[in-house]
Amino acid sequence: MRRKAIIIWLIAATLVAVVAWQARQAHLALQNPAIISGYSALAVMIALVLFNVRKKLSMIPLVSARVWLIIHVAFGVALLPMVWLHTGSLWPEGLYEQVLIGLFYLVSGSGIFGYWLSLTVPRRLRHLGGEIIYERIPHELHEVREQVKQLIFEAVEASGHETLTLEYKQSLAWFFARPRFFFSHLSGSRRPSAWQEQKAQSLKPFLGEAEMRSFEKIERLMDYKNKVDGHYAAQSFLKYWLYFHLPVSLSLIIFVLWHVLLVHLYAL
Amino acid sequence: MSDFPPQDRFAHNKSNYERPTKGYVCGRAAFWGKPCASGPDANGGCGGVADCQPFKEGDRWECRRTASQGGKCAAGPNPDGSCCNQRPPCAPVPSVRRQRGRLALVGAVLAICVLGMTLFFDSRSESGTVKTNTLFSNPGELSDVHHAFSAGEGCQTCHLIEEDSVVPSGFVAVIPRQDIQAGCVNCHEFGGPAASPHNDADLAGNTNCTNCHTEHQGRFANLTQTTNQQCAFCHEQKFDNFADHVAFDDRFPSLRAGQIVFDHNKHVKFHFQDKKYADAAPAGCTDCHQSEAAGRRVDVKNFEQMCASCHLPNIVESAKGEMAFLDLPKLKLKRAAELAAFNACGAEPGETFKSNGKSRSNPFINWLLGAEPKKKVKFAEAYCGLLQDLRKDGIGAIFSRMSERGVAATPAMFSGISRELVSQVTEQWITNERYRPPKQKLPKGVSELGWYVDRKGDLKYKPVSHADPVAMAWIDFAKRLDSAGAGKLASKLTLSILSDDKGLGACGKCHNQSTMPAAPDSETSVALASSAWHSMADAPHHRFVFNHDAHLSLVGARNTNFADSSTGCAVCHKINDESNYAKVVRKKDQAAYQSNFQALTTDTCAQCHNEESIQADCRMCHQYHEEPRFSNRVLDTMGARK
Amino acid sequence: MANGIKLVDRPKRWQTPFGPDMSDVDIDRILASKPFSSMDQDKFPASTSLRDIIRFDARIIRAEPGQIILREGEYGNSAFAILSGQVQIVLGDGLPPNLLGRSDDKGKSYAQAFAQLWQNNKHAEARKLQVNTATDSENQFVVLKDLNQVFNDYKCAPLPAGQLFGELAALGRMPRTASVFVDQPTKLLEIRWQGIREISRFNAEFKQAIDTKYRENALRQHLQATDLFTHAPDEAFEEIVASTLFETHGSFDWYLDYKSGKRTEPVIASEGDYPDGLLLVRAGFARVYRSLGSGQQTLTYLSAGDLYGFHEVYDQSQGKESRLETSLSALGYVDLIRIPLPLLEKYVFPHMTPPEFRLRDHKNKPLENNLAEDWLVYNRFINATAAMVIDLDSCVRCDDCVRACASTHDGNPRFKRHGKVFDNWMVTNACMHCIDPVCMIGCPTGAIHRSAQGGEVIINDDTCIGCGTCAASCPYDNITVVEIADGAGRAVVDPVSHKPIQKATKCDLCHTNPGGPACVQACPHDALFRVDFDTINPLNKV
Repeated sequence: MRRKAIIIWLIAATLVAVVAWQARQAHLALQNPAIISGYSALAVMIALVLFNVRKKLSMIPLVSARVWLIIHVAFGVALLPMVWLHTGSLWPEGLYEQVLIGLFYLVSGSGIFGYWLSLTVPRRLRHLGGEIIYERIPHELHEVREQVKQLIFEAVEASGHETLTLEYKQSLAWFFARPRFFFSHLSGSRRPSAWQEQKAQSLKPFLGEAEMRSFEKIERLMDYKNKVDGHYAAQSFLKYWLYFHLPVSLSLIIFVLWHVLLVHLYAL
Repeated sequence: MSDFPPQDRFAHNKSNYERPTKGYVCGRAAFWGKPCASGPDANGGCGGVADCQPFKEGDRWECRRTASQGGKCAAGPNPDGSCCNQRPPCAPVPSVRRQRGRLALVGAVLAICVLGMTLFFDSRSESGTVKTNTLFSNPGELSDVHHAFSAGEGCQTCHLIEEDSVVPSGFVAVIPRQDIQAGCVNCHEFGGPAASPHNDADLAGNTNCTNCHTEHQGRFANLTQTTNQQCAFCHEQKFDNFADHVAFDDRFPSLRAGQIVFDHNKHVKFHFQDKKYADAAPAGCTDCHQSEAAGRRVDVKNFEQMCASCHLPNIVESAKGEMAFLDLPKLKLKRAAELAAFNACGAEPGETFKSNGKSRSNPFINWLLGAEPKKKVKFAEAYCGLLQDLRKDGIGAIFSRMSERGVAATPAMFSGISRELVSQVTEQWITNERYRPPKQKLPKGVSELGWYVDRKGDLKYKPVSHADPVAMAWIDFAKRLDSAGAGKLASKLTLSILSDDKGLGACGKCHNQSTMPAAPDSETSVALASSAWHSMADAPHHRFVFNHDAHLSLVGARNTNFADSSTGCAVCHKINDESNYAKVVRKKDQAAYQSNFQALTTDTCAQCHNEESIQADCRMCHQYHEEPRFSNRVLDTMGARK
Repeated sequence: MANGIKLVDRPKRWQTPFGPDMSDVDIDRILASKPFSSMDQDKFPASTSLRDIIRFDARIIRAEPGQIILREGEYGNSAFAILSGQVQIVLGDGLPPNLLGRSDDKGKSYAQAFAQLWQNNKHAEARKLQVNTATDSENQFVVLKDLNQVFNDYKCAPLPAGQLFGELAALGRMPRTASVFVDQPTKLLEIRWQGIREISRFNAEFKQAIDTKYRENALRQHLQATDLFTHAPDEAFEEIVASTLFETHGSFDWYLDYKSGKRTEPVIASEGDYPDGLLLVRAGFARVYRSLGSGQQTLTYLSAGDLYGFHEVYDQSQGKESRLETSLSALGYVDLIRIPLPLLEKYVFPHMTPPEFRLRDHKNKPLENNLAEDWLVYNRFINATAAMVIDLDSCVRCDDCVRACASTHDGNPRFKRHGKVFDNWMVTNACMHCIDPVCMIGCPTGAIHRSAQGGEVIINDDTCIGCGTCAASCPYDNITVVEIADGAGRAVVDPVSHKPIQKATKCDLCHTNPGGPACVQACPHDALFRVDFDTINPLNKV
């Protein structure tokens, strides 16, 4: 796979070089280099879009998706210099062109960001421990919640004190209701466990033996839920960056097609 | 209680397939509640109102909850046969992927809406023009040069709208005709086809203005940037510095004779040294060449300032040439028919009209009368008629006849001619008297100038000054004659004026007549370009640019003198002692032409243009286009503005 | 779901007979011929009488000369009894593939695969609900054109009427070891392995006969196939076969214990014992370990073809005082061949250089080096030929694999993207296509079987009755029983009890799909692999 990746990156680099050279030749020959760089960029862009099509056609062998992703990333990166070659500047004149390249930068940027996420977040998830399917998180949280309620019920039953019930109502219910500390989990901050320790410290002096037994189990469940929350935050990020990348890409494609049409009508 | 998560949660009967292909997820799960096992159905409806559909086995209702949902429930069905685990239906929410798909759709629709809006706004314009600065689809501001003049007409200035466009008129602004080049050549003209390389029709290929001149790059964009490499793409002679430049022509830069036959060699070496002319002789080049206004050319001063002091007498006094306008024919009247013809003139039978000069009239008169002198009677009749009219109406008779002949006269042609003179000449002829010159005598050594009647009684003209207006008018007339089809007459007429020995004023002595026909009967054009009169017309040197001014300060050219050849013009332009310029020029043979300056070589340029700091690229001296210029349309507009 | 239910008769065992109508006359005739004539019909219970077994689990095949019955290397799920005529067994290298009529996979065409894009049902587990009575279409017979040529070119051995063949591969869930064809008009009784199993359950002689036959036929072939005796002359094999011992450790039904949490591992040989022979694994798995502190350190695991004690036996033969340096225990069950020292001294050791003992190096390596092996063994993943392993360091949890799976299976995923995790590796709950597919053991209809071509373990959805035996048997929880729906998404229940109709489902490795497993193809992040743990274990060949 590494060899394939190197080959694909080399092809992408070669493509940029060839297009640059061809455009240069056209420029020297007093032809229009923007045609070569423009259509090359368009072709690459279409190739990038095809990745999405390929994903929908997983039932037929159209080269494995892992090769496609490398192509997507390598050619996506290669597209940047190709577009710069085409525009001749980082920020072209003209409102339409600026909108176009703005969209392009957004797509490229989000793509690179997403690729970075896909390289880093999985490792983080592993180090977090545990593994949970994103769609099952609500169910998992429900189960945890039920367990906590059961434990509190048992503690109250055994001790006759309602300390834990009150605590649950005041803060634990909030904590267990849904994933919490989203951004703390994203940034890897210690805030969630600090919050938990603080709860424990303030509560423990008032707990009897039976309640303590229950609460220790609740603490373990809180640990577990923090893991699930961590998964929720990280996996959300893995999913939601595409919320941006995809729609903007589609807008970009439409703008690009219109641009091609305009150029042919006005300038060629 | 056991640890969480339970060990067996992946057991085959505890964990069902996760179905990410489903478009919806349970609405309860979306709010972090417990999702029901069955989940939403394919259409996004709630699929989990009850856990099962109990079945009546005999007379007992039995739970039918499946193993994957937890098997039979403890409570069992309600007495009415409904499931005990009833829930109000949830509102399933779209799955992450479906949300993403919808968002993508929104993105697409938004993009299309924006485009539609621009189409709408861009196509809205007052009086059908679209202002560039308000246009969304405008790819960038125009350069300063194009910015101003396109303000009025808008986009259409360049993006011409096709009349028979199928596009609805509202969209015309957005979807115009494509041929941008047609817009360019509206204003820009060249010495050749616009779409040929170098505007040279002989060069293969098809170029487009926009390939090099890319507009909409901002107000300060350089539209004419060209690099050596671009030249080198076609031109095999690669060029990095002057050492590589192909050798100049061995007569460079004076490739062909100039407009004025001026022998620098003779003048500088002999005439200017002559004590006779000491007062008039210049001390250095810049006494004649106007270094203050140096450009590609360094123009010389005019005739009066430079030449008149020595050469004016050659034109007005010493010149041998003269133009006979009206020479009176000798006519013999023998027959009655001839007599009748001369009745108009009041002739008597047997009377003989004698001319003092030629027996034949001059070609102009022949043309004017439209009659061949050989057909004597008809010619005599016509001639007689003309003379009668001249006597009666003066020169006006010529005007009317010329109009009839189709080439109108201009007043300048007869400027200074007096009615008396015309009447006198015709009167004398009609009365068959000998011409008597006017009473007053000219001072000795001074000859007749302007219109005069010579001793033979012919009406003639001699120039009164350099660039004599009457002579010029007649040359102009000759040109018009030529274009009216009377080429032979035109040639004769022109030659009679310009010829350096016999011509009127001997113009051709100094004004290079290389463009003139060598023989009077030549069918080639007699047309002398008006620029031919100028001292230094642009030599047709293709696409070559040079600026003297930039060099003058470097060589110290102001106020130079001929004696010092180490500074000033002589740094580059060194007189060639060997040359006999005038003699060569007179041969009218371009191939034999020899400049009276030593040829400039690339070494001359390379003295300075070899350092990196000094520009030495192709475009320093060569321009791409052949005679780039504005079209009359632009010139008119500019003129109107002024 | 609220839109009601659909009534469909519940499929049962023997609802779909193996072959078309078997008449009573046929059955009588069969029961009167060998080997059935010698069986005591009274020992069979009424619910599973020998008559019924033959009626429902067998079919009569009338084979014409040249017809190929079994093809070497293929997986089959049935055995054959010769009723009349005779068959020829191809010995030696066997017939070439072109003679065997092996064609490419007759899976979906590209167009059919592509059509799944819109043909897949949007409802979960929807079925077409056509009762399919057609039998397994995989047993299409191929005919040899020129029998004389075959006899000239290949060595064949005849097998007369009354004999049984093909039962070892069918029962052992192994590929056929030889091709079999008929050279004269022959009547065969094909019995699916469920039937064979029932017969051997209730007829001890039959069972005994099968075991004996193994020794007679298969053992020699097996030994010849190993590298061990490459230098032994052909005539020596008589002696080798006679002297080797055949032993089985553990239980064939090991998965029952395993599922209930007991990991019984009968010890076969212990560290420090006297090495009295070389052990060759014939089938199943065994664990090699050494005691360390108060625990055991797994060094490696052995599967079919692997050797144990080679080094120690070699040392012994060189006159050194040698003791076993590792212990060996059966994982589940293991079939071993014990080759005594004298045989080795006579035929093996003279022709070889001293063996390298790689396991010894382990004593000097960090303990965690063996954790992965230990984990694989502990979870019995060593059984896998195509375990789905996900690298959690690369996986972005995009579910593309699951969607790809669904796209090739009428919109239904056939695995769950969760499972046991070791380090960054997750072995998901997807069918591993085991070397020893214990899921097939209990299947009453033979719906779960090995595909003839690739040997993938697959379930015939039409004949599956949804009993869930396979799902319960699978030690890895990789089979899921689903409740099916009709094309409109309505739950399908049987009219009698209104209980849902179920089907067992699992990964079929996309064996009908062009391009192999869609999950692997679909993974964009190079995270998902199908792994054969037998080939990646670096230490299993000692």
